[in-house]
Amino acid sequence: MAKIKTKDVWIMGIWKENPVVIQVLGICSALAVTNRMDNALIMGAGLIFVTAFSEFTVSILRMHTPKHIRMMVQVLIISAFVIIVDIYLKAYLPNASKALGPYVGLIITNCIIMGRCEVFAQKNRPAISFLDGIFNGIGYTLVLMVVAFARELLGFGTFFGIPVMGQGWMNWVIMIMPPGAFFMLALVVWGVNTVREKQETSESAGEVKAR
Amino acid sequence: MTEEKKAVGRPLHETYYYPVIFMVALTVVFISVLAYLNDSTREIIETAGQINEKESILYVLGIDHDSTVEGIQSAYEEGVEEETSAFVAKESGIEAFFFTGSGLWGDIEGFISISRDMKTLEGLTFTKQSETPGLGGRIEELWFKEQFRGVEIDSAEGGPLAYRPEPGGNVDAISGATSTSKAVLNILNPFIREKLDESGGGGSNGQD
Repeated sequence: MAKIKTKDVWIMGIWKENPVVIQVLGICSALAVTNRMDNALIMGAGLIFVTAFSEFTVSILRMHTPKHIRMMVQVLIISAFVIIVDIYLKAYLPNASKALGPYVGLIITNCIIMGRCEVFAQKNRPAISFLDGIFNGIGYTLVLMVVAFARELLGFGTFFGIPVMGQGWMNWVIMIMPPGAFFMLALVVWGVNTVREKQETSESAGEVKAR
Repeated sequence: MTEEKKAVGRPLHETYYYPVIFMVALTVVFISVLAYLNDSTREIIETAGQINEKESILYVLGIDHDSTVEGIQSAYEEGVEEETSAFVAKESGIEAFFFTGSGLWGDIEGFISISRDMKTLEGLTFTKQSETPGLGGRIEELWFKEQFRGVEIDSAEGGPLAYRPEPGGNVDAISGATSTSKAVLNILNPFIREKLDESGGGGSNGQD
């Protein structure tokens, strides 16, 4: 397997193979916690932490883990880190812990983490796996932030809880309800993929010209 | 390595018991770390829980306070008297009661306060709930809780509380969260009736 460079890892995680808009993973939580930006940010931070350290640990143990029980091992590792996040939020950010409710525990089932552990960490060294976790987490967080930005702005008229839309603003209640999440996420996925397609065609056109 | 191979028959990581040992060892390691973390943060979580509870009691009793930890502590010590089954506001005589019951996904716990003459609800808040965030979870939002303030207890048929547009409805349910809304009233109505009976049958609920 060709050696993977750090630069590739971050381009893949954030843009080319963005876990949410390209691979369409982690949609459940992307729909659920994006009604406010602070919730989305904390969820993203939790996911970055869990993905990075899970990948790191899976990668360290990859030579010693019997192949046929590797998924059990991964789930064990992931859930341990999720419980750490849960304990931390309960102790130091009780309001955030309340707002996110069961979704912190549900980080365990986020496909991004297990997907990256299985696809990347099983085959690569610990340091690069750790980075891969961080950048995939950031890719996820960025999408969540964009969706949450639009939903909070239109649904509550606020930005991180600060009113910005002025007195005459009518809140779009649909945006803070679940359907709003589907609309926004779909628009974001559509938008990003359109931009990407254009970029790719112009890139390949450029290559042809250069030849 | 070769000697060991001869002795055991095959290398350790190929034996049938190696996965078991590996899994057990890994589990022990992680459990130890988690147990340690849980133990070292237990006190912080408990104190935060107590402050939370005091703030909830102040809220349902309608006592103004600073939102800092010290503000909550001092307002609570000055304004609230703890009795065996209730928390009583020293100034207004409003009584707050702890209630618990089952919601849609898990238990719902909280405080409800009733005026001294047992005729009006004074406040409602939830301290624990695991309803669907964004739907049933909205019972924690201010607009939902505030509408219970000042509700006259004997005002509704089949009540004391009922959702509009039912006859005698006095509060609004949460649209999209019917089960949770129902659960809240299923907890509160029997609870309020019980409190009325205990206090010597105020209100007009003779049938119960």
